[in-house]
Amino acid sequence: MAGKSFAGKVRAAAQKLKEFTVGDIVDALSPKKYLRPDKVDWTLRDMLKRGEIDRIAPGVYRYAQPPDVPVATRACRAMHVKGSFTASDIVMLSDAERSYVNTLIRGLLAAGHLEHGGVTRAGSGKNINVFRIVHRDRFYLEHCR
Amino acid sequence: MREDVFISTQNFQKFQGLVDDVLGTSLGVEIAVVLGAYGRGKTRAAQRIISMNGGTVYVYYEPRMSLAGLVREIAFALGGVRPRSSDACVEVIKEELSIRRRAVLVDEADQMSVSQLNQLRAFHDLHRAPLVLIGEDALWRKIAREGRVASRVRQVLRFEPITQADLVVFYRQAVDQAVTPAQAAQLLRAAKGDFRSVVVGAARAERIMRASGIKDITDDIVKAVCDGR
Repeated sequence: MAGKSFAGKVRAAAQKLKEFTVGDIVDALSPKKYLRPDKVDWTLRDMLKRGEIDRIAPGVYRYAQPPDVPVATRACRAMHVKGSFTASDIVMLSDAERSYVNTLIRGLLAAGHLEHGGVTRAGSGKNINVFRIVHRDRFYLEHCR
Repeated sequence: MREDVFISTQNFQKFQGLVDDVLGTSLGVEIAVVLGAYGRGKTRAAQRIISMNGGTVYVYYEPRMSLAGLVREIAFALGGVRPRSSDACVEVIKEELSIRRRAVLVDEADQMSVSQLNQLRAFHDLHRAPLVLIGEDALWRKIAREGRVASRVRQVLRFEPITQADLVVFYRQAVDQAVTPAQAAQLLRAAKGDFRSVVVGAARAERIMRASGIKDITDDIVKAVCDGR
């Protein structure tokens, strides 16, 4: 079983089962039930906080496959699919870090792939820049595939 | 309010599971349908899946699109080219899907004509194209009228109204407020299951709290949000 730590063993079992309960993990790790379920429960809570698993029903979890797309591509795909967007939109859709998204947008603006599309007001009252893709097709071919 | 928070709602998780299923197994019945009233978060969920999953492509159906226009958009999403003739577009689609299996998510599919739905059925039959059609309930009425399309639908996912758990998580992550079960139930009733209404309500609650200098959400604020004041 991959991973020597207890969390590694739980992760490997979760990956194998895909959808599971605490009891399923206990069964997978210790068929004779020598394992205390609360130990698994705490590990699952940590995994839930880290976004490694999703809770799909009370007591039922699903292993969340890590994204197979590099972060820059994810952010660019999010930009393309939105067309007109704020940095927050891209953070929300791509799970990229805010600072990374800001840097990426600055680079794309300088390269002429993006342009300012005005300013919008956030719920907090702050003004937020809106950006637009200049040539959607070219952007898709160069950054999203 | 934090506007960069994505809440993995139960609807989103089911949607993601549906796309994984369509991409993962080829049964010869590769059409999936996602239905739901406006404001339930179908498009946002689709945008998130497109961003995170390289095995998907997105086509936004616009009412101005002709049949040829739709075929051309799918060809561009898959192959990166938009040939003028429909035959050439179909060749691109065929070639791209034979190289790599990808799911085509078609948003606003409820506005498509029956002939366009039948064209998608032809792609499905001839090239085993995994298709996810997204739209409001009218989409299912159109599909149900065309038995040939309906029989090729593997799974139908209905976006249910937002749950109380989703609302509590949204308030905690986006507004940093812990709402009580009673407050959550009240906010949920006022939102009528519409995620957009929840977002607007949260922004309103935050504005009231900022204006009055209150740190934690109270029953009076919840009432004001629900009354639309």
